[in-house]
Parts: sequence; C-alpha cells; structure tokens
Amino acid sequence: MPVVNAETLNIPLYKLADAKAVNMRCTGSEHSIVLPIPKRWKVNKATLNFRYQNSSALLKRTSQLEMLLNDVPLAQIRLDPLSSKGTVKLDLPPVLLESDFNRLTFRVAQHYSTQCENPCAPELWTRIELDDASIELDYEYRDVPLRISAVSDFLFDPKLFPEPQLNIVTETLSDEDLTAATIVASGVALRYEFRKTLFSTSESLEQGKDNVLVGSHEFIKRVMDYYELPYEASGPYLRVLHMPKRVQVTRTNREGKKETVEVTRFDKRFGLILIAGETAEQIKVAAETMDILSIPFPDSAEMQVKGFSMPKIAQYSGKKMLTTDRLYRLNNLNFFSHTFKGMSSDKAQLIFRVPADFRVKPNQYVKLSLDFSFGAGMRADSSLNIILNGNHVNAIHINDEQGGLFNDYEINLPTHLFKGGENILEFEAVLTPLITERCGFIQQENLFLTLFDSSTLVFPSMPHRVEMPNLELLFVNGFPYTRWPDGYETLVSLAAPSRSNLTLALNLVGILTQKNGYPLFGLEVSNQVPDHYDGEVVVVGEVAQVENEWLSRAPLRLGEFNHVPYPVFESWDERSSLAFSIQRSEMGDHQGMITQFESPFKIGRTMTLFTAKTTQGIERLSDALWEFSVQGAARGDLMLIDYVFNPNQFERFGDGRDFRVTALQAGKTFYTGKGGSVNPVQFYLDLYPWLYWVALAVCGALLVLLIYWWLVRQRQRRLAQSHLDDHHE
Amino acid sequence: MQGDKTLPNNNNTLLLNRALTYPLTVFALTALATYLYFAAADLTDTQQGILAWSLLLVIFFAARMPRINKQLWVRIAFLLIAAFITLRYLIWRATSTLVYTGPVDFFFMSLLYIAELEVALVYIINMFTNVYPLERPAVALPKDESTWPTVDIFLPTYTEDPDLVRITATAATQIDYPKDKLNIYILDDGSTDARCQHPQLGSGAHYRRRKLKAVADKLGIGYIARKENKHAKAGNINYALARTDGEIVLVLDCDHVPAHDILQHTVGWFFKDPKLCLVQTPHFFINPDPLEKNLGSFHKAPSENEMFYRGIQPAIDFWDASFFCGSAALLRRTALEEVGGIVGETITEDCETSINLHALGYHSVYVGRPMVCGLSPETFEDFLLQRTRWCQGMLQLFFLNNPTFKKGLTFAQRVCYTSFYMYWFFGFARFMFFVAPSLYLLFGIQIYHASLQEALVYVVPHIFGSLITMRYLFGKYRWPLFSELYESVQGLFLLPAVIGVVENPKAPTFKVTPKGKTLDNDFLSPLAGPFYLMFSIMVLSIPTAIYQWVYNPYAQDGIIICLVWLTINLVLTFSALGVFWERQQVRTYPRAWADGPAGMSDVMGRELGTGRLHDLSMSGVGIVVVPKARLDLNEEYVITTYSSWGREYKLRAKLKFQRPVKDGVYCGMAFKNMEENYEDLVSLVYGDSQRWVDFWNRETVQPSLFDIAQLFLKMGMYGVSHSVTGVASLLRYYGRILMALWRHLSEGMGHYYIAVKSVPARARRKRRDS
Repeated sequence: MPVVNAETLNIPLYKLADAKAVNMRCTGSEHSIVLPIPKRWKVNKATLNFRYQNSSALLKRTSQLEMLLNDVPLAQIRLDPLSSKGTVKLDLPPVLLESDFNRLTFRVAQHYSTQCENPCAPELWTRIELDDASIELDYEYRDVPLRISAVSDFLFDPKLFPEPQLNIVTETLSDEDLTAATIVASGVALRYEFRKTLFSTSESLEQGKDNVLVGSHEFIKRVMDYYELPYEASGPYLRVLHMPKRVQVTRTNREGKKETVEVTRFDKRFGLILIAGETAEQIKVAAETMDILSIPFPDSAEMQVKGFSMPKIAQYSGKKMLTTDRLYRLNNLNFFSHTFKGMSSDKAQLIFRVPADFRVKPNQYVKLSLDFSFGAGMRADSSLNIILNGNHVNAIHINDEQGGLFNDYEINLPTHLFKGGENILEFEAVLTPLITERCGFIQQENLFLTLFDSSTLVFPSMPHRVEMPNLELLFVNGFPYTRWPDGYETLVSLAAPSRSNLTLALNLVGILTQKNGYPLFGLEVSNQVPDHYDGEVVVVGEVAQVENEWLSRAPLRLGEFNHVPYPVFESWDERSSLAFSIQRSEMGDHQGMITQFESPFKIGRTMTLFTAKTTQGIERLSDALWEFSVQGAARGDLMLIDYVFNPNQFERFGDGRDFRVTALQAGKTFYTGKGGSVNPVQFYLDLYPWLYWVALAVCGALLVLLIYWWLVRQRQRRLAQSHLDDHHE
Repeated sequence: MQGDKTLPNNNNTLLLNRALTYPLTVFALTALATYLYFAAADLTDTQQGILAWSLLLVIFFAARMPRINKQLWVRIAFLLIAAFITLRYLIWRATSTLVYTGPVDFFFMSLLYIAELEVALVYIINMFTNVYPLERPAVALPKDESTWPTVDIFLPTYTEDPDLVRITATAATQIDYPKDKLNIYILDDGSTDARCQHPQLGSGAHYRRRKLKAVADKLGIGYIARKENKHAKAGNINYALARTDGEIVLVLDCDHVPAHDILQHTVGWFFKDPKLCLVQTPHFFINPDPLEKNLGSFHKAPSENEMFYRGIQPAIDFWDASFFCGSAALLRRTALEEVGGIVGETITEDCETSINLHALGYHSVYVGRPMVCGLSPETFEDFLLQRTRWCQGMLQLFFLNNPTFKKGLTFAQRVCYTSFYMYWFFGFARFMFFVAPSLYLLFGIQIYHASLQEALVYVVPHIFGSLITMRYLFGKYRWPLFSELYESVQGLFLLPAVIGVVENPKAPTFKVTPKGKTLDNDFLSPLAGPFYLMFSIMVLSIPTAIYQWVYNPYAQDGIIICLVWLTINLVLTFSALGVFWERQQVRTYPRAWADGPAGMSDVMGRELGTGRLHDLSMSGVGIVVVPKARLDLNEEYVITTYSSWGREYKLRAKLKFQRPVKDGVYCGMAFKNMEENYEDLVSLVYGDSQRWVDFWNRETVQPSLFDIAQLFLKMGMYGVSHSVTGVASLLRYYGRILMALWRHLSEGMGHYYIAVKSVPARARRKRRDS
C-alpha cells in the first residue's frame, strides 16, 4: 500500500510575524516575514493570501505594492486610491522556497505627487492585514536519512511548523525511565529551539509522527522483535531507522491461496530513534549523547557510546546569558557590524538574557560603549536611538555635518530598565539629509551609520533576590528551576504514575529547556518527592492525585471545601482586593490550573503545581503550556486555563482551539536568593516585615540592658579609683 | 595624701560580677553583632523609609522629654537608635552608591565618601564617649593644713603683654592656700638670654624682663627665664620643673587668671587617689572669640569652648580619659617626672603628655567648675593660628604617637583619644562637603549616586538624626548648626594644615596664639579672599543648576539633592561672611558678664541707690540701679559690691554714661585710681569663680532650628553689608593709590608721596596687616 506523502497546511500569517498588521509609511518602506521551510518538506505549491488597504491619497501611477521572496520580486500591485482595499492571492514559486528561513517581503513605493513631495507625508500609507492572511502550503515529506546526525538538522528541525510532534516510548513509568524520557524531551525541545513541540508518551510506537524508543536492550529487542527487525547491541546505544509499522497484506501463498499476513513496512517520512543501554545509567548516557548532537556527525545509522562529558557550567549561565562584571564585545553576542542606510532603515537587534532573579538596585548601570561612524552631510536632528525591550531608553545625537568616527561612546543604562530573562536591545538610526527643501534633490546615499561589533557591553554585578511566587519568571526562562542551567536541584514529580502526567511533565521540560537554552541533564524526575527534599519542586498530576498538604498551600486551595480567591475590585495591591469564598465545588473537566507557592520542604524553595481535574484536562494543559498567549499571560501565583473553541479561527484556518487565561496574585509571598539558598533570618524578615521590628526592638532592649549594666559597673569602678561611691553625688 | 575613705568590701557582689562578666560579655557581643546585622539588613526603600522616619520620630520626641531622657537607659536607647540610623546610611552608601563611572568621578566620589566616613566615625565615637558624663562631687581638703601638699604655680609666658601676666600673677597670689605651701613662678620665655642678646629682639626682651621681674618682685613671687627657647612651652615648664620642688604643679597660661578657690576645689582629689596625676579644670573666656564677636552671637549663643569643657570633658572623664589642656590643670610632680616632664613629639604636648601618663596607669580627673578666666584670640587670623596648632598637633598624634595602638591605655581611653585626633580631619571633610555639590553642578562630576527617594529615606534621616543627637548630647552647650558654622569657616583654612601634616608629620612647630590684642578699626580679614571665592563658586552653581534642571531632565533627582545641599552650604557661608569683617576692639580690659548685689553712694557716703551688677572689667563696671537721686555724668561715686563668699568691695568710679533700662538705670562707670586698687580689682573681677559658674548656668532658651536659621540670616546680612562696605573701602583705597600713581607718572615723583601720605592712618594699618 503506497504511503501518501502529500499534505496541505494553511497557516495564519500572524503566527509567523510579530504583529497582526503592518503599516508601511513614507515614500518607500518594506516589511519582511520569515517563512521557515523544514528540510523534510518538499513544497509542491505555496499560496499567499492577504488583504491590504492603501491611502486614498496615493497616486496610482507611481504607487505600488511589491512582493518579494528571498529578494526576488514576485508581483507588483498598483495601489489605487479609488479602490483602496484589495485582496491578493499569490503563488509562491516552490523553486524559490529553500529549506531554510525564507524571507517574504512586502515593499511599497508610495507617492501623492510627482514633484515637490514630502517624503513622509502622513497620507503615504498602506496597511497589510496579517491577521486575515495565510499561507497555504502543499508539500510532501522527504525520506528521513538514516544517519544519527539527522537529529540535529533533519528530524528535529526548528523550521518544522506549526507543531512538530514526538512520541517517547518507555517500557514502564519507573523513575529511571521517566528520567531518560525527560532527558530525551529536553534535548529534542532544544533542537527545536523555540518551536512548539508536542510530546506524547506511550508504551508502544505511535504512527504518523517521530518516535523515540527509550529503555533497556531487552525492552528494545522485544519491540524490534515485534516488528521483526534485527537488534543486537550492548552498552549505551543509539540508532536511527525509519518508522516501522505492521500492516496486513494479502498475498498468495505457495499453495496458491490468498492469505492475509502481517508484515513490517516502513513509513520513511518519520524516524524512530532507539536509545538503549543495559543499565539506567547507560540509557541516560545514550539519551544525553543524543541531546548534544548538534553538528552533522556521524553519518552512520547507529552509534555505540563509550563516554560522555559536558562543559563545566555555573549557576546563572546558559543560552545567551550574560555574566556580570564581564566585558562583552558585541560580536561575541552575535551582533555583527551593522550599517543603517537611508531615512528609515531597519533596527539592529542585540538579544541576551539576564538571570530572572536579579534584584535591581538603584544606581547600577549597564555600560554600553559604542564604536560607530556616520556619514557627512546629515542634519542635526539625526540620531541613533537606543531601544530596550520596546522602550526608548537613550539616544546619541548625530549633529556633526562633517561626519565622524566615535570610539568608546559611553552610555549608561539603569539596570531597572532591564527585565529578568530575555532582553532585546535595539538600535534605530534616524538619519535626515542636510538639504530637504521642497522640490530640491534629496540626497539619501550619504545617510548611513555603521555600528561596529567592537562595541562593548558590561553588566554590573547584581545580587540575586526576588519575590516569589512569580509564574511570569517560569515562562520567561524557567526560573527558579533553571538556576543551574542543567536543572540541577530541581525535581519534577508525577503525582501518580500515568502516561498523561508524564506527557505533561515532558512538555513542561521541553518548554523549560527552550526557555533556558541548555539541556536539563541535572533534572530529577520521580513519582514521589523525598522527605525534606531541599530543591525546587514541580508537581504534575490530577487534583485527586496531589497530596492534600500541597493543595492546601496553593492560593486556590482545592479539597473538600475549596478556598477560592475572587478579585472584587481593581487595586494596585491585588491581594488586598481579593475575596475568598469557601465552597464545595469542582474544577471543570477541561480546565487546567498552574499554581506556585513556597515549598513545604525548605524555605526559599518553590513548588509549582500543574494540575487538572481529569486526564483530558492534563493533556490539554500539556498543549496549552506551549501557547505563547498562555505563556504571555503568566503572572502571579495562580493561573486558570480554560479551553475555548474559537469558531472564527476554525472557519478560517481549520483549527478552533483557543485558551483563556486568568492569572492572579492571591497567596503569600516569599523571597529567594542566590542558588535558592536564603538566609533564614533574611527570609523571615522578608516574609514577616513586622518580625524585623520586633527582633530589632528585642535586640535593642537587650543591648540597652547590657550596656546599662556595663556603664553602671564602669561608673562604680571609676569612682572607686577616687575612693568614692555613688552616694557622694 | 592617702584618703581615709574606702569602698565597702562587698565580696559577694565582686564575685558575682566576676562570674557574670564572661557570659554577659559573650551575650553583649552577640547582641551587638545582631544589632549590626539588622543595620545591614536589606530593606526596600519603603521599609527603610518607615524604619528610618519612625526611629527619627522616636528620638525627636525623646529629646524633647527631659524628665525621661535624663535616665541612663533612655540615653543608651536614644544613642543606639541614632547610631542605627547612621549605620544604615553608611552601609547603604557603601553598598549602593559607590559606583565607578570614570576615574575623575571615582576620585572625587572616594574623597567624599572618606570625608563622610570620617565625620560619621567621629559622630559614632562621640556617642560612645558621651554616653554617661561624670558629674564629680566637690571634694574638700583635709582639715589639717599641715598634710596639704606644696603647690607650684607656673605662669608660662612668651610674647604676651606683661600687663596680662601681671593680672594673672596678682590673682595667683590671692589664691586661697597656705602661703608657705604655695610658690608662684613667672616662666618668662619672652626674655630668655638668647632673646635678650638678639640684635633685633634684644631691647624688647630686656624691657620685658625688667618689667616682669618688677612684677614678680612686687608680688613676692618667683621669676624664671631660660637661656634658650628650646621646645617652646613644654621646654619652659620642664626648665621650671627642674628648679622647683612643689608636690603639685598648677599650670596657668599667662592670660588665664585664676579664681581664689581653684586649689580648694582641686587639690583634695590628690588625697583620694594616689594614682591620680592630673586634675583638669575648664577654661572660661570672658571675651568673645572672633566668630562670636564678628557674628554678634556673644552671650546670645553658648560659646564654642563650652561644648568641650561642659560636655566632652565630663564625658571622657567617665572613661578616665580627661586630658591635660595646657592650662588650668594640676599635675602630680612625681608622675610628671616619671614621663620626663611635659614632653612629646607633637606640638600639642599637653595632650601627648596625658596619653603617656594614662599609658602608665595614672588616672585623671576633670572638675567641671570654671576657675580660671582667659582670653580668646581677638582676630580671626589669630583664632585660625590657634586652631591650626591644635589641628596639626592632634593630627601629629595620629602619625607620631598614635593612641589607638598605644600600649597601656584601656579600650575606652583609646577610643576617646582616637575621637580627638579623628575630629581634626574635619578640615578635609568640610572642604569636601562644600565643594561636592558644585563639582556636580558646574563640572558634571558624579560623586554621589542616589535617587531623590533614597535621599529621603537614607540621607535626610541620617542628617536629622545627627542634628537631634548633637542637640540631645550637647544642646545646652552648643546650638544646632553652630558646630557646622565653626567647622565650615575653619575647614577651608585647615585643609592645608591637614595636608601639611599628612605630607610631613614632623614639620609643624609651636606657634603662640596672640592674646589681648586691641583693634583700632574695623577691617576686612586678609583671609576673606579664599572664602569669598568659595562663596562665589557656590552662588555660580545656582544658575547652572537651573540650566541643568531645564535641559537635563534625566538628572533632576541629582540636581535637587545637590541644590538642597548647596543651599545649606550657602546659608552657612552666607552667615559666616561677617566673620571676616574684623570689628573694632578698643577695650584693653574686656568687660565680662557679672551679677550680684551692688550699691551706689556719693563720695560723702550717702546712698544713691541699690541694684545689681551688670558687667565688670578691670577698668570699669556696669550696674543697674534704681536711683534715689539724680546721677550726673562724670561725677565720682562709690560702688559697693560683694563676692560670693561675702567680701565687700568699695571702689570709686566715675559715671561715664547712663541709660534707662527695664529695672532701673544702667550706669557705665570707670574705676578711679586703678593702680592703687589693683589687687582689689583683680580680686573683684577675677577672684570669684561663682560668677562664672552662674554665667554658665544662666537660664537660656535654646531656639528652634527656624530661629537659628533666622539668626544665621541676620548674621549673613550683617556680614554682607560689612563685607560690601569693606570691599568698597579697599577699592577706594587702592583707587587712591592708583590715582596717586597716575599723578606721579604724569606730574612727577613728589606728588606720589604726598598722595600716599594723604591716605588715612586706618588704611595704612590695614595695608600693613594684610
């Protein structure tokens, strides 16, 4: 039976862009959208659908909208002022679509006059409606190459979208298997970089997706035997093969009779990776080895792992993480010399991370030392603007008509402008020609500014201390579970051993890995939490499976009677505006809850609970965690996630799944410091500010008493030198 | 001299105390560590604001409840709270505000922080030393006079007016002590053989020797002059020590006139403690110091020295750290000889001698009753000369004989002596505080990194806390902001002294403070220039601040902090402008405050009225009487008054002026026959220490900060008006010289001399002085 490879995908364009609409202004402007095409796709047809609207003041003869794919012009549309709205359906030539990140560009030329034109007149605009736009792709899968290194560039390709899936097969739900499975999930999520990756888990292979088979040689052999595939291995072992499946075929036997037999066939679209070992430790080593395969080596289909070592890591390090008090040249931060040209050039971005628990102190500055040059003949209102996380924070005035070269132009940015996790520092050049008289020739060729990558950035030393719970930090960079980038000192606990709980745990680990940018090899996964566990804890499971003591610590306490916080009015101090209802009630079957509170085992440590009432609820929660809308809404210590059906979305794109998130800060807060260790005194002082007063008063009173006693003695001694006593006075 | 009184021997208490000492010390250190830990606790700005302002309110109200705050435990709590506020500030400064923003910024930022540390350290040490001032009881001498020790009174003199020495010597002869046990010596260093043989100074020295010898002969006291002026005052005293044999030595500066009861109140202590080496008494000054005089604050506000002699000396006496102040002190000869006399490597040999004595285990006592009456320097220049000597001498201690690490001293003595030399770095600190805001506003040097909010929760409570604490500790003897004023005025001029000692600690030499000067006219002190320059820089900073405010909105927090700081500096500078306008001082004998019954009669003995003394000097008296008959100007009357111990004085005086006052008529009288009544006059004017005690204890109401600010403003206005007048007169003077020069150039040499001769004598003196 031939395998049908072709598939059709209709993707909303706003999921590929960072905005739901693009406004293009001035006489010339362009906007690009990145269109990823994974290696495993062979695109047969691609169609772009979008609507636009242009200003009714445009001059049709000279105004046009141009579409380009990887800088190759595809089509041009006259922007007609009399028909200001238009719909475009454009075929993208598959030959131009490379297995890479393709650049789809909208470019406009807009004029309202043929002469004496203000180049940025307000009536020069065109709007592309991205929320209504889509790309329809007809593609077929290429065969998975049978080489181990395919995991780095083919199987787990970050260009694969919208939702790559992976099924992880384990024999049991023992702690060892759970740990191996999470290591695999972590490594795979890391390969997918930022792409939503749906993990599932089962005891047997699932068709229609990639599978990873993790376990002992015996278990792997049993599975292989089922598929009648040879298997012989020892020690830590990796192998990639096409996805096998058992199919029934009708054939004529020797006796000439037709019979239906089950045979093994391969679905070459998907891969099966075997990760095996004799012991749990060997399995772990094999899984970790798969995680680190990041270059196209080796070419063989299998690998016998002998040893494994990781670079030394430090707390608060990892992907794009800045170390404090260290001078970084911008080229070390993946920022290369950039030249801004023309009146409205693109911004240049510098992306880096800072630890989420930095305590911002006043009077601390991030020092940016810029090397740049700029052209001659620019007007004094030219500037290089510095934008941090979307907010303008500083500027350099370019006010020298002679042009110039600056070295070590120092800019101090207050640390409080930065946020924990990822930060985006953007440079935007606003360059104005010196001569801009109406009807005169405006020379734009000399409008340039080059920002050199020899510029430097220094982040000052900052203490680690942050108020918890804070779910936002969890979704920013996995804090506090990624203090050590490999997840050391973190335990993911399944409230009960079940596939749905494991699925949720794997997805969560995948997300944490992507946020953190480092495989979570140090993470522990278990079906129970050891007594007095002194690390950070994540608990996943259905409400009924979670220990009552933990539930009772949550801001929304679930139990026989639920204690539910309800915001009554809007207040700056959210907790003061909450009413608490004690009620006998139940969660919805498809509702999920994420809640964070102080660990019952150690002060300063955190426990985060991912729960739902039913197995379906847990599965949906796994799905929801990946949604940017859910992650973006995270804050406080309580998130309730409702699953809603969006008919409009369903109608337009065939997928009506949507989520509604309610987030609150409803419980008690606590502080955590560097490495999660909190000075107990400081901790209690933070937790109960009045305790500071009491302790201070007690300490002061004691000191007063002691000093009083000392002084009286000293006085007696002093007067005794003159053979006097106090009665003399 | 061993006293007969012994402490009750309570062995149980002693044993209990010893048993408790170790655990209680551990406990105390733990509590102290906890206290410091809390001071370093990391709080949000809001929490810090609540904490600091609450504590500030507590000490503010506690300071206003004298009934409660006199209790020892309240005093301790008060000081602990104040220290806590300051500690939090210092820790915050160290951990949050010291930011490297460039080498120049860092250099000045470090200097400012060091200056702040110095001031804060002295402040905190002061809290320790002043925690429990010792008010000593009076100790009487034994009834049997034969057991009393022999006393030598040394009156060291150098170039002071012999008339000043005569008053002091005369008063010394009137001291109530058996004459056979009292020997008085004028130690004349101004007429040493070397000086007498000096080609330029010789005639003056000879004249001085003759005059002082005559005084000594007339009074029947000793006169000692050395061959050479080696080791200044210390050498002079040591020379005399080798030639005398009294068991006790009373050292009096030649302008420090003793009261008759000085030995009665002090010698008794030597009977009580065989290890006692020093009894120090206060210096009481009857004339205003130049700042008081030029600011017009004399008698309105407590004098500057009161804080030291009424506040600090009793406090350090508690720690057995009261030290020799060069005069008005009794020293045990044997102890003095054990340390080799008044010796030391520094120019404050008095303090250094005390350190050596204390290090040998000797004790000192401070008797707080003023029993010598002295003179303050007359001009600001002389005042600074005196302060520079003190400053250099105390800083020399730091480098040459550091008491902090001196063997033999107790912990408390080390702390006390440390505070003395630390204090004298204030010249550097004050200079930094003055220039800091202008450095930021004029030159953009970032030396203080704090937001307005932080300033409100850390800086302001610290400043107010220190003001409240200083008022609490010394409010009776020092009004708020007066310390700042004194230090600010001196700061600029003491800075070179500080730097000089740091560069070469052995370089400074002893310079005698001129006393008893008379000033014929008002004139602008030659030291005004640098101060006026500083004032101008500060004034210039204001428009710069406004400009920055408008055009640099990012820096508004810093600008507002600097502006407030600058305003305080300006108020201090503004009020100090008058200091440099030296006011006329025509009286040879300063007139002192006096109180007591007084009667007035004519030369025939008819009573004309009774009243009270108002002021008193060697040359005249002011009394307020209710006259029974008409009083005529320039008529001679007889004034009758009494000392506190009942001696009657009848003196003839001429009425020089009168004016009606609230309680009668104020009569200004000039004594007749001063020379004939000289001894009586000395006894009347200087012999009664009770008058000085009464003066110190007179009822004064401490004004509010607002009142003081108003006073400062008035002083500033006064200073400005006189400065403007002074500068104008100087300009006129130089203008005339220029005009004369012009005439000389145009008309010939002769005209020039005529023009210069025509410059008034006043202007010539001014030129000479400058």
